[in-house]
Formats: sequence, C-alpha cells, structure tokens
Amino acid sequence: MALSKEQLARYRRNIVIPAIGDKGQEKLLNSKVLIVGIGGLGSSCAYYLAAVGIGKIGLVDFDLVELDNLQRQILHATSDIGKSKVESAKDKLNNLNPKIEIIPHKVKLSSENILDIVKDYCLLVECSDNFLTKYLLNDTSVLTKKPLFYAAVLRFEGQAMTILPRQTACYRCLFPKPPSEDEFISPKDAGILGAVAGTIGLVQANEVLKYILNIGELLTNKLLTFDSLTTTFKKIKAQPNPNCPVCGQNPTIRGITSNE
Amino acid sequence: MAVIRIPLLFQEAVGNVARLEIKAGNVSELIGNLTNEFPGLKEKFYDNQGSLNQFVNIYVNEEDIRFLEGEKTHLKDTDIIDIILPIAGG
Repeated sequence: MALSKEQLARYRRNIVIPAIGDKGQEKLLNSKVLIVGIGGLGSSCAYYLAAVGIGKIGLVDFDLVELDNLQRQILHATSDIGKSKVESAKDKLNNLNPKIEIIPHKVKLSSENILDIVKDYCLLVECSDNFLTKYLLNDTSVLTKKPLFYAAVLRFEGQAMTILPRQTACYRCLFPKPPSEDEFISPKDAGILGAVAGTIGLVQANEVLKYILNIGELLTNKLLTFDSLTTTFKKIKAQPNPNCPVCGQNPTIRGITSNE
Repeated sequence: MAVIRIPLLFQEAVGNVARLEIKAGNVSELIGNLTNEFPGLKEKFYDNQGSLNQFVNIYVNEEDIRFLEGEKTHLKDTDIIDIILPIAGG
C-alpha cells in the first residue's frame, strides 16, 4: 500500500523520523488496536493513537457520558452528557482523523463476549476502571496471545506495564488475585486527578507505537509507577512467575469461563 | 533504619504519612513491627489464614521479595522498601 498524497502530508512529522519513515507509517495504518474503557486513560490514549494514524481502533465501553466524568475524560464534552461514551469518542476521533476506522462496541465486556470482540484486533489496551475487567483482559491476552498494554490510576498515582503473553510477566504474575471489593476504596470514592490519567494513558499510547514500529525498549517485565506529587517515575522489576495461575507452569486458568 | 514507602491506600492507617523508618532485620520483622505500631494495617497485609495477602507486593530496593528470600529477605539500614498494591481506576 503506497501512501496517498494526503497521507504523506498528514503524517509528515511521523514519516521524517528515520526510525518510522513510509514503512513505519504503513505499519501504523495497518494496525488494529482495541481500547477497553473510554474514560480518563482511554481518552488520552485513543486521541493520540487516532492522530498518529492507527488504521483501525475499536472502542469498548458500556457507559453513558456523565457530568462527573468531564474533569478527566477529555474526549467527551458537556454537550455529550447522556450520550454513549463510544459514540461520543468516535465523533471526536473521526473529526480529528476521518480516514481511519473507529469501531464502537457499546457492550459490557464479559467472559461470554470478550473472545468475539478481541478476534478482530491484534493489540489490546486496558483502560478500564475495575479489577474484573483488568483480570478478564489479562487472561484473554495470555490465552489468545495478543499483547496487552495495561494501566491503572488512582488519586495521584498511576501504574503501567506492557505484557507480551507467555514471553514476559503478566498482570497475574504480579498480582495473582484481585483484592475483594471491601478491601479497597473504589476509584469513585478515592478520586482521580485528570492529568494523572492523561499522563498514564499517553504512556500506554507510546508503548503501543513502539511495539508496532519495533523500536526502543518496551515496559515489559517492569511495572512503571508514577507518583504525580513528587513527579517520580519508577520502574520496578517484574518477572514471569512460575506459579502464575494463568501463564505459569501449572496454570489453573485454562479458558475464559467466569470473571474471577 | 530501613525506609518503607507507604502506598496511598495504607496511609490513613499510619497517620497519613508517605514514608516511615522502621528498625528490622528482615521483611517479616518489618511487617511485624509495622503492624504492632499500626494495628489497622494487620488486616491489609494478612488474609484470614495469616498469610501475606497475594495482592500486597513488597520490593526491597526495587526487587520483588518473591524472587529474593520472601519474608525472610534480610534488610540493611540503607534499604528502601516499597509496597505496591494493584489499583483499578481508569
């Protein structure tokens, strides 16, 4: 596929980077990325992936835009309140870049529908706001061998990690089981600073680009932690855990059956 | 004394501070001393059977204690201990 005159102009600042060039831009345009959760993380991540020219972006979210989303979820505007988040996001992304394909999936992701949704995508970006979805996506990534770009935020802190299934540590290698609901305060009660979600969403977008372009060094076997109060980024060592319930030597999770 | 960085979700139980200095020879002693001083932390570190909760990750100088000597990992005064918990916001 040769780039059109319009594409050469639109993506000129990508293409002039020697490590990208025409070939790299074509790779981006041929990529299919699924973003799960179009909130604080998903907004910044999706916007930059659309701008850079990812050819097909799937958006998964079941929620409608609410007033208290708007302090951080920058893809949505006051006039979108009551609209579905994936439709609101699709409008903005296609307005930014009309030639890429944006596929809205207005569904609640579950063990029943996840395999059917991820089958059309090569890369999974985890921007959800709950443990059930985070574990569901991790297990799906390992079992379908699709790379996963994980992140989470709370108040002033953020975390991110890139997972190449069965090659590098997965989320369960670090945290084998989710905490129970009553052990943790929910993001709703704890709060999230918008700029923290934006920062970490862009770390995810940057990881996706490096993976597609095969450049640099990925956040694999490392958990990035961000403390916005002291502006400290730390990379903490992670390694594949032989006792991991999903990618270890004797896995107890062998299929996507129920959310646990 | 080793420096322990307290994660956000544990800070309320230790009087809203982000770091503490604790004297301890190993990780188990460190958690013991910490939970004796701040009993509210006990249920956060341990499950009903008294084992370290699986979602509480402890790092000594950025190395996961699972790949060192677990709770028996020896500590020096210059060590920095991080506790990393999963968070779920998006």
